[in-house]
Amino acid sequence: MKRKIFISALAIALIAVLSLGATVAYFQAKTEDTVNTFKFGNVDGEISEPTWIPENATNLAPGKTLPKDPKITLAADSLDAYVFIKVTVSDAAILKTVTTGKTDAELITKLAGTIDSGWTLMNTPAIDTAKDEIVYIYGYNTILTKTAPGNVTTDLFTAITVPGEITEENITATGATLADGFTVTVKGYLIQSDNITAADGKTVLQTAYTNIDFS
Amino acid sequence: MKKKILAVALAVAMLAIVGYNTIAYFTSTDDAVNTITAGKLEIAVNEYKDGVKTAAGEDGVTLKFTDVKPGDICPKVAKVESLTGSIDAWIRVKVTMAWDKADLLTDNTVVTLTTADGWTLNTDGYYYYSTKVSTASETEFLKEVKFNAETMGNAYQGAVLTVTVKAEAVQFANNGATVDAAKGWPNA
Repeated sequence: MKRKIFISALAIALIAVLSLGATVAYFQAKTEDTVNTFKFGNVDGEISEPTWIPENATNLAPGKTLPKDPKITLAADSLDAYVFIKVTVSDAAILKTVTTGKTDAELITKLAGTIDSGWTLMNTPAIDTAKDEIVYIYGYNTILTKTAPGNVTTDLFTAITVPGEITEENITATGATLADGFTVTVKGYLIQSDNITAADGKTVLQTAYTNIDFS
Repeated sequence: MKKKILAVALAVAMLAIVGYNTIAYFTSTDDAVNTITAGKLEIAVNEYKDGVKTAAGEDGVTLKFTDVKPGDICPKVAKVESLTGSIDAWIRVKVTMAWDKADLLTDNTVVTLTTADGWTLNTDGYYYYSTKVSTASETEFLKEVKFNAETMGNAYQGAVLTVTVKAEAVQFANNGATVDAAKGWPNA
């Protein structure tokens, strides 16, 4: 038994010496690992409308005005961003009827009044007859930064008015019904402002706009 | 009897003459001592931020980039230093990358490493430097790391990429005409 152990020990010794011999055949060196980390940021924010009171938005008579002030606030840990608000208005056919002489792009003013000058209309609004709705997308002209006061936009608009022209007669004339009222949906979109450069013939804001999927 | 003694004495005297002969030449010995010192091979990876050499922190991380976003070009300059007294060497560098989230890509559609001139990425995953590196020199390897805005998306938000650079060297002398022919790399 003793001899067997000795033989295997010898074999190990031989292997050890042989492999050691091979690795030191040439002078060689290696470094320690050099480690870098690249932490990616987030783009984050929220849309709010502090003055909007949902309970008040029922049983509205034509001509009634309700405060509604959509704006976007950038989160404290967000990267700087361009921001957009998409406004979707339902029952577009009725809106069109009561706003004789206005283009599709101007229909929004019948509901929301003047759009704040800090915002730019990005798309070409047109009534989607299949969905009976119209979409307006506004881009904020200034990059939002995470530190106040640059972290929040101006109000896109300040109130929604039920057009005085929305009378029973006019509704009937459109062939549509307005039993459930109409809806104005606002949704915010944000995109990093760094590394976006103006594409051919477009502003940087327009280029940023084309990089967002608003569907 | 007396004669015999004389003969012996003479013989002894003769022997003495022989003995004298042996010291007729002045002799001297002198050892020619040669000390053969084996050369050493020592390299290091140095990193620079805004031109300033940066040491690793306690967590072993040399450079930390934060709030990185698609389209960013991070100035990550890495150089391989051949330390003073080191012999001539061939060098190669391996870069490994890992995200802290699953399903994110590290290939060059997403992350592009801009290397200095003279480096070639081989199929074994190492970048090889084509010429000899001499003692007390720095060889620039990496210039910047680029993140491709076209291929990244929201999946990369908040993710952390760890990039590890490791350099290896092998003696230049008597070891191939080109870096591709060099043998004896560590870990090979």
